[in-house]
Amino acid sequence: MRLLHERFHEVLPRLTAENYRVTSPSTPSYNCIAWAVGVDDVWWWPSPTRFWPETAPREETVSAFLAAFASARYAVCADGEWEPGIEKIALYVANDRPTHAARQSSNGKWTSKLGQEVDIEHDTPETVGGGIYGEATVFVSRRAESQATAR
Amino acid sequence: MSVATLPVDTALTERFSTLAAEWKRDTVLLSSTSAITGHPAYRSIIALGPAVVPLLLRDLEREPLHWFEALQAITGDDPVSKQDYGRIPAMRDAWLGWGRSRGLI
Repeated sequence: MRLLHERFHEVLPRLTAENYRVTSPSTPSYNCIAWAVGVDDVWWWPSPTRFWPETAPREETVSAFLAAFASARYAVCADGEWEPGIEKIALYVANDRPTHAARQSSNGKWTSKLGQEVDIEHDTPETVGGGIYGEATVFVSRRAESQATAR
Repeated sequence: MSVATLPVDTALTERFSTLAAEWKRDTVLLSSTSAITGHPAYRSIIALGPAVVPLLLRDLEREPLHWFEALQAITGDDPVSKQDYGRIPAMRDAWLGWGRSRGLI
C-alpha cells in the first residue's frame, strides 16, 4: 500500500514522509470545514443538501466561509503563528474559491481532514498547499475553549 | 418506464463502474460538494438516466459516498429530511430506505 504522500503527490506536492502523520481512518462523514471547527459527524459546505450555519450565506466565497467560522466564534486574525490560549484556522483558496481548512492544534501543529480521506497532522499550513487546495490565505482565531469557559 | 422496471445490463454496469472509479479517484480529497458533484464523470453518470439508479444505490450500500445529488437529479425525489442535510450516514439511510421501498435494492 502506497503512503499518502506517494498516492497524492501530484495534487498535494508538498507532503513528504517527514512533514505529516495520519491521525484517523478515512471517512466521508465529515469534511475539512467541519473538522476545522471541531465537528466530526457532519459535512459542512454551502451547497443545498449539506450543513451550513444559518447565519452564513450559502455561497462559495471567502466572506461566506468567514461568516460560517464566525458562527463558531472565530474572527479574522493576522496569521497562523502559534499563540498560547488561541485556536486558529487557516482557510485555503484556489481560483478565488474556498477549498480547504486546517486547524492549529495546541502543540502548534496543524490538523486537516482531507476530503473523504484521512485526518492528518502537518507541520505548517503550507504543508498541504501548493496543489488542489491552493494556498492558506486567510486566518481566523478564537480564544481556546478552556480559556473561553473560564471567563 | 419506471426505475423499478428497468433491467440492469452489463454494458451499463461496466460504464458506471468506469465512471465511478474515475470520479472517486479525482474527488476523494475534495470538500467542495459542488466540485465533487460537478466532476465530468459524475455528470456522465447522471446522464445515464433512471437505469443507473439501482447501481448508485448498491454502491451507496457498500460505502457512504456522495451519490445523493445524482439520485436527486435523476429521480426528482429527496427522501432526506432537512435536519439530516450533511449527516452522511443518515442521508445514506434515507436513500437506501427509498430504494428498498421501491424494490430497487
